Amino acid sequence: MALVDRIRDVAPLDFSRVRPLRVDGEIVAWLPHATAERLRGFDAVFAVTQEEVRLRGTLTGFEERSVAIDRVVRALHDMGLIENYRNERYAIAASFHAEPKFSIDRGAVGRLGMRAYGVHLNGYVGRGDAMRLWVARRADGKPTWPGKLDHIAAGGQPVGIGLRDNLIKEAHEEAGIPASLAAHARPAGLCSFLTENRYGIDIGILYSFDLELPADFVPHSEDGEVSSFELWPMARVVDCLANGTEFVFDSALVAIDFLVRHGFVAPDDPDYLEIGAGLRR
Amino acid sequence: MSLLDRIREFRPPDFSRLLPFRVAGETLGWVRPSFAGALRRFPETFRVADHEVALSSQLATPDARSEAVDRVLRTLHSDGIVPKIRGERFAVANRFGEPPRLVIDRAAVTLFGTRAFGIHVNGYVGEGDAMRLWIGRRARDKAVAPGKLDHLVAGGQPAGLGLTENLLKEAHEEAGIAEALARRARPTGYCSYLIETGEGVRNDVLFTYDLAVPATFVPRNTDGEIEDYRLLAIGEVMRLTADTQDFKFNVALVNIDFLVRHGFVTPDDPDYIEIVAGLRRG
Repeated sequence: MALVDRIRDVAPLDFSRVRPLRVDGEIVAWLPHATAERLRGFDAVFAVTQEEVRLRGTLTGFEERSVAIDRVVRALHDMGLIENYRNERYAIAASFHAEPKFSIDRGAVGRLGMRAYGVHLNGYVGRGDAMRLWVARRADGKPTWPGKLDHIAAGGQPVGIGLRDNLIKEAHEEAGIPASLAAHARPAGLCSFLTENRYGIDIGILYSFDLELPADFVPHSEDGEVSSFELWPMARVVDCLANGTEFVFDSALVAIDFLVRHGFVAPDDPDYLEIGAGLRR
Repeated sequence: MSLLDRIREFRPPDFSRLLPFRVAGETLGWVRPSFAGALRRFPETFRVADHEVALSSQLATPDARSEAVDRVLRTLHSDGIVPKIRGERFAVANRFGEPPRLVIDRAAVTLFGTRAFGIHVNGYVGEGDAMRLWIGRRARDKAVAPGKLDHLVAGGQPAGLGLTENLLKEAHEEAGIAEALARRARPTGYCSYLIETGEGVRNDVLFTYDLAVPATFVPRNTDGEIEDYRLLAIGEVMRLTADTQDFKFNVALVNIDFLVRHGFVTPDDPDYIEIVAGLRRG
């Protein structure tokens, strides 16, 4: 078993199983064919063909589109096609900095094959070979990946808040990190993937931040989404990632990126290039 | 001008105009049709077809391949088709650390478009916004990129040397860095690209290292390849990388990777995703 196994676990999305959802001609999602066929029942909102789904041109403007699509999402939730209605809004656009076309409930993002953005915080103590990383175990009640290992703080990127503000908010809610401390977090790149798993299609861009924490800082969950925190020597982080799937798959990518950036993966490892390429797809 | 301009200078080649260079069924590089034409004269070594250049399957061992290719290169050199032989041996393999499929002169690496590996050391002082980076100016008589700005330590990876050995050797020769300090360099990833240049195809992987040097440290070039060193504020490195072509082209790429990893480029930059994606290609 090796770190590259975590890269290979992230199976590339099979594009023969999906069709594009276009708004104003731009692709904003990759819909599974079965879901696309169900959208034929919402003819006032979507025009469905074998090749693609288009948002009706009669719907214009962010608000009008968001309201119309929300009605569809609630109906799909009632039908059981969308398991959770999360009451958290995600902006949907052709790219992160493009003007959002509409907003949608977080619970629909995966089932409808939309790209989601998130922030992940690598909270570490010490430097060099003495470095240790805070690892969180997700609460058993979390709607996705309950009980799995995760970063000290991480979260999806909702509408109407900047990346750094969201990071500071999540650091407080998930790990009790005061804003004055979280403000020292430094952006350190991103990991990206297009894959499919038990929760649907997962197209993600995760912005990673590094934060050196004082040795006497102890995280605590404010919102109950984490069941426990542990401070691990880096060798244990490497072993855990290489030998199993205890980490959520996307947090594993961000953690491996951290290991690479901080010199805990040797560049003469024959897997080094596959690992590096697999972190951004 | 912006950092993204530097990234976009690494345009992928038009592969429909290049021929894959294949050895024992594996694609190891990309060859221009003009060079492929020159190789047609050596049918015992190269099988040149319309769609590929393959090394003869008669050449079954790395040694046999290396000797045969070397003979061809020397003939082409005396004919003036290969401008120079550098006398530095590069291992040919797609992944570093794999047994080399053959070994070729450094000057031929670009002609065959095979993957070349190198090391780049970001030598820095201080932290956060007070960080400064040691930058060298390449000697005016360097064969490649004379007078351009470069890292504290950088070098191609010759055959038969480990990465750390090469780093220690280059750190000593280029910057007079004592082994005890050079050993503190930490690997931080790599940058890669595949581009067409004047001579052929460059298919490079640059292993990057960060080295925090003491404020009292002053580099001292011992091999004449660096004209002088200066300690530049990180903001100045960012400005020179974004607004000028003063840095050697691939040094600019490694600079951008450093700026991203250390948080000097931030994700609210609309170019962020394209910049990060552009650091590893090929």
